[in-house]
Amino acid sequence: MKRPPRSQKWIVLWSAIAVVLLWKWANMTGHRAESSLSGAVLPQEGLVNFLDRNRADASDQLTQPPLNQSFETGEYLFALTAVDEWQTPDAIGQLYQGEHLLWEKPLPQQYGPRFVIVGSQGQVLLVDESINIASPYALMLMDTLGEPISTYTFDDIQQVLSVSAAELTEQATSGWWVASPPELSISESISEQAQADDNVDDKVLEEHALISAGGKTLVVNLLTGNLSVQ
Amino acid sequence: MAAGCVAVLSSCTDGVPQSVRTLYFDETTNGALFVQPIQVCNDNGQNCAGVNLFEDITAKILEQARLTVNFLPTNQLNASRFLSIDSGESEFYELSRAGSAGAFGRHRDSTRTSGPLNVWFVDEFKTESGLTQFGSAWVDANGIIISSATLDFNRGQGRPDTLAHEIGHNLGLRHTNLGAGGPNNLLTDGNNRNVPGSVDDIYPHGAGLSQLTPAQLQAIVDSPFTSYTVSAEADANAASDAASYSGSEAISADAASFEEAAVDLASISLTSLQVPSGAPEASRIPEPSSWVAIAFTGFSALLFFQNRRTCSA
Repeated sequence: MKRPPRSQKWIVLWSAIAVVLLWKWANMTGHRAESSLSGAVLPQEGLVNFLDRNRADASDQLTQPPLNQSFETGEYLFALTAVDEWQTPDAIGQLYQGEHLLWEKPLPQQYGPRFVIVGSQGQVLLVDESINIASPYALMLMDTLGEPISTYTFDDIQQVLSVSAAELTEQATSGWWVASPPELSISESISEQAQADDNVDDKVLEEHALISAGGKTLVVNLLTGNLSVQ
Repeated sequence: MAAGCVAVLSSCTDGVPQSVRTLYFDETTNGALFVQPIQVCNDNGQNCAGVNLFEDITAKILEQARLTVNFLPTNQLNASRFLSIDSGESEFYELSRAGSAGAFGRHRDSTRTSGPLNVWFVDEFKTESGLTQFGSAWVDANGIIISSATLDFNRGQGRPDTLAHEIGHNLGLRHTNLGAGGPNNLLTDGNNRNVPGSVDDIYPHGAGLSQLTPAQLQAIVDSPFTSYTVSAEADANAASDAASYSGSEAISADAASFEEAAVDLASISLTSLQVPSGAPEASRIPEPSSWVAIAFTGFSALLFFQNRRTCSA
């Protein structure tokens, strides 16, 4: 076998060295012929492989409420509608008595209230907001004209319940303070005047919303908007 | 030949295993984390996405991990097509991984598993209908997207825990492990997590929100993105780290072209490819292409010496 000239060996060796250096240069500049999805200090890796290892529901996102919701008690129906299909968090409320529209107005709650209770006399109680904050509209009671009877902030609720904010949030299952969905409670009672007159037929209708929060039950009088705790 | 040896050895040093960290989270540990904000603008550098780091809230949340968050000066990425990120995540992948060091506004010392965390602020991160998307992040890897919905949230007051939530993902935390899932845990998903209104709502104060469990805290300590030291050295190292990172830089890259985003070879020094002093230790395994080159060189040398031996015989 004929021995190759010494210069030829060096050409082979230096070619190999040149390949290494070129490869490192390509890595550093990102000028890669086969793939541009690589970098100087980033390992080459396919999107699919990367996602398999590093993607796992890692988004911070909020599920939007339905575009249209309705809540009904007796002849009253409250309709809650997204203004622009939740492109913005603005919602509109409408109260109907049968087919008749009693009121319609934009609501201040972002993505609408979390819960709605409609009273038998057309009162509408809007409970919390759908965005998990300490809402300035924790409770909002509207009359049949759409005017607010009373509005309570989260701080107001906390004060009435006499529970720390930390306890309230920890025990809440919906947002900052609501531990279970509100319930409508309707009862009849005899007024003090009727009792004095011994007139047991003169009964008064009492309506309340009962809301569990902080290990207690918040009672909302749907006629007056007054709060009490059980 | 000497040059060949140097080339081979320099490649090999990339693969040297780093020392294993055995630090446990307790009151003696202090850590540092670096965050590189990147504001995405249109091609002309205008109509930029809003940026809000909610620094006080983000910092207080991560104080639970005895972690000092260092917000680096904001970089600017002029690329209209990244103002709206697609839901398929390929654009997010591109921002996070494509191009060379420093491409797409990334910090030059950032890698997939080390260095400052890169946070892009964009107008929109598209998602499936019925969801409002505030932010997204890779789990246990570098890269965060924050959309303008985060800034618009709550009548414009913002959703101040989103950045800390996404940082948690980059540090390896998920929605359903290590104790996440309760309404007051930082890593609980957006539907079930209570959102703080101010720094006063953050654990251990006020409403006690954005909590981290002991298991989550330990995971943060173990993350390659955080650098922890025993308390006496922590402050000095954090200051040293802060000094080692340079100021902001405007990136006028059309992201469609990786060549334009690539950094000129002449501007890269060897030190720029090293892990910054005091920064998290990174596992720097050579790319497959480097292994091919190393093997080729070795094979050539083998042939050379074998040929020489044969001829001598």
